[in-house]
Amino acid sequence: MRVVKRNFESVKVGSEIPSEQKGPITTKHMVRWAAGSGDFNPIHYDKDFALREGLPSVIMAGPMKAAMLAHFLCRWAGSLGSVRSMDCRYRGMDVPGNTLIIGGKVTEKIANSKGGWVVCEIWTENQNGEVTTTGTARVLLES
Amino acid sequence: MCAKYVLGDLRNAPKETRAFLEAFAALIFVGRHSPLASALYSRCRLDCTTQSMVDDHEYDSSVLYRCKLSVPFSILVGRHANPMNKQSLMSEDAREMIGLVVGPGESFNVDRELVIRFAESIEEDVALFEDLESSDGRVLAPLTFPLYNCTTGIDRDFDPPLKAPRRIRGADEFQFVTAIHQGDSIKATTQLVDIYERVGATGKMVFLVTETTYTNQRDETVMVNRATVIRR
Repeated sequence: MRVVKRNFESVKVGSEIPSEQKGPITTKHMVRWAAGSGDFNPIHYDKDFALREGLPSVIMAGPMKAAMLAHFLCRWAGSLGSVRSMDCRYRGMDVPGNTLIIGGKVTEKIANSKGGWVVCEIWTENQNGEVTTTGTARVLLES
Repeated sequence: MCAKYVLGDLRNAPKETRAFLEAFAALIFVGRHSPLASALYSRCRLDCTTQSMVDDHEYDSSVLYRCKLSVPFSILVGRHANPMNKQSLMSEDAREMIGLVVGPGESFNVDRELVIRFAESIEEDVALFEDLESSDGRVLAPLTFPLYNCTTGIDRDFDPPLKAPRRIRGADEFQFVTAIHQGDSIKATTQLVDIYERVGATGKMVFLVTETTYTNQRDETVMVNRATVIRR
């Protein structure tokens, strides 16, 4: 996979970052996440446990969605090191069967001598259009 | 009927509309002239206030709306008359833990297998981490990678005395300071930044805010994570 670095000047405020789709999410995703991330909270892979906790089913870990958002931005920026900060609020639960649509939009540009900062709104929504994660990110791009 | 109407139609309504209609629905439920009505109405208003407080924390709103009706219903069956329900979920001992630091914990080695497993779990091609900026030929670790792979020195090491066994993550903030490479050794140190209680429609909740700093084998900070965990 070859990616092209995006330059600061080519980014316009208000432009959308092309959305990406993940899923449909299955329990297999959850189990892989537990193994890959080390997050073994059973609400993410043990349905009986999750139901006893009052949850609708096993739910995607918030940081799993955060990791998806971070790499969505990396691919757009063309550099893993460009994404410098990100915040996420986990507003809704994503359960197996959900498809995640990952989106973003440029809200601000702050130039510096080498390029500048691009501030983005980021989100995930499910197949019903319900927003399940919102956040902002700061991406550093060169000229 | 009331519950179904509220659940079906109010989820996307503006906050004030929802609050008003839920209070109204509750009044209909007990009857306008019921001796409980005025007490219930004031309770609903109180409930709406706490709802907006919770909204400020961006907690999962769909769940809260669903449970919001449980407050008027539980007043009807007298559960809120039970003094136990008025007790705080956290003791003063818990608040005294603010500022406490754990770690650095044991370090863990970033190995290629772990990177591949992490990448696969978020449907990323591991090539993304091999190709991007790997000027020295080493594989980069995915962003957020150390979050749980560090098993000590993280937020889970804090066990404040709470009567709230359920745990869900509410929010995260990340600063990605320096790239993490295959072969790095990462350790974590966490500070309990804040702990506070809020009343939501589902009852009391405790918010734990922690800040974890991840460092590599050269003591360089690679990532900082501020997490809000909700306990109830």
